[in-house]
Amino acid sequence: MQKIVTVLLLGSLTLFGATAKIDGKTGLVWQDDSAVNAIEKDYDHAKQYCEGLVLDGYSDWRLPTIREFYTIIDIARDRPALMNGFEAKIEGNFWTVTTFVQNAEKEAWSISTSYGEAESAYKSREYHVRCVRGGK
Amino acid sequence: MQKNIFLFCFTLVMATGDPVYAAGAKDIVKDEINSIYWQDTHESKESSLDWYEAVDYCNDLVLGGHSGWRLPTFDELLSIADYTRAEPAINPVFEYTGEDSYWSGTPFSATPSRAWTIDFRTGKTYYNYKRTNHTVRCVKDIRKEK
Repeated sequence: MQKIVTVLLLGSLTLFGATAKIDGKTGLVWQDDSAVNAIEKDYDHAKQYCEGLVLDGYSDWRLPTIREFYTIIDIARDRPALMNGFEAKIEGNFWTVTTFVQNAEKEAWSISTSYGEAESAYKSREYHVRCVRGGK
Repeated sequence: MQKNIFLFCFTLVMATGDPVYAAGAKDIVKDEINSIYWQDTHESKESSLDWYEAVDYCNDLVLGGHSGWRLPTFDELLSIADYTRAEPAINPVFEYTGEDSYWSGTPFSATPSRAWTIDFRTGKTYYNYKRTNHTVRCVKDIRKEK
């Protein structure tokens, strides 16, 4: 059972980090086990959950940035607006690590996988979590 | 008279992944990462058009002697958002940014009466009704040199 989806960011993707540009590709590895569908946590616990996650022998998981999360969103689709290849496809709000600068103490950005929109939310809200590793 | 000065976009990429531009010119911003020019005029700040008018506005735009403008895609528009800033949450190379949502040409898949927008006060993304008025910043593809 596939639990991790590796997304190769090919040369045409230019939104991301220097490595992607220079090397022409960079790898982000996404959590894709049943916990993605099952678990909802507030922002602080979502961050702790990713940092403590051990999956397929890897322990360097983290909560994705808003830009990283948008690389797996496909707004040409909806319900879910998620790229092909994932097994955990629950619709709902997912946390990103990116804080909302106007209220960084209390709010952070979330992305809905129903349609793909991003909005700020209070960190106390319990949202879904999909951790990522690699990339940059 | 329109100024026709292109900004040079260094290939440097900051830790945030945003392109870094040289400062000091107006009207058109050259974006070498996406291979497009961006409109950056008073109308990029003040315009208030529905989606259909926005499509026509870009089609009809002549800027610095250049025609052939279009609405940006959602991904192009997202690439100039800067989530480390607010009001405006946009790459600081742009001088003219209004307090409103900006149209993309990308349709909303679930219903054709809506299209994707980004509100550059914060960077919020949303699918607004095409018949509502928002701001427009057109783009033009940079023709590949042969």
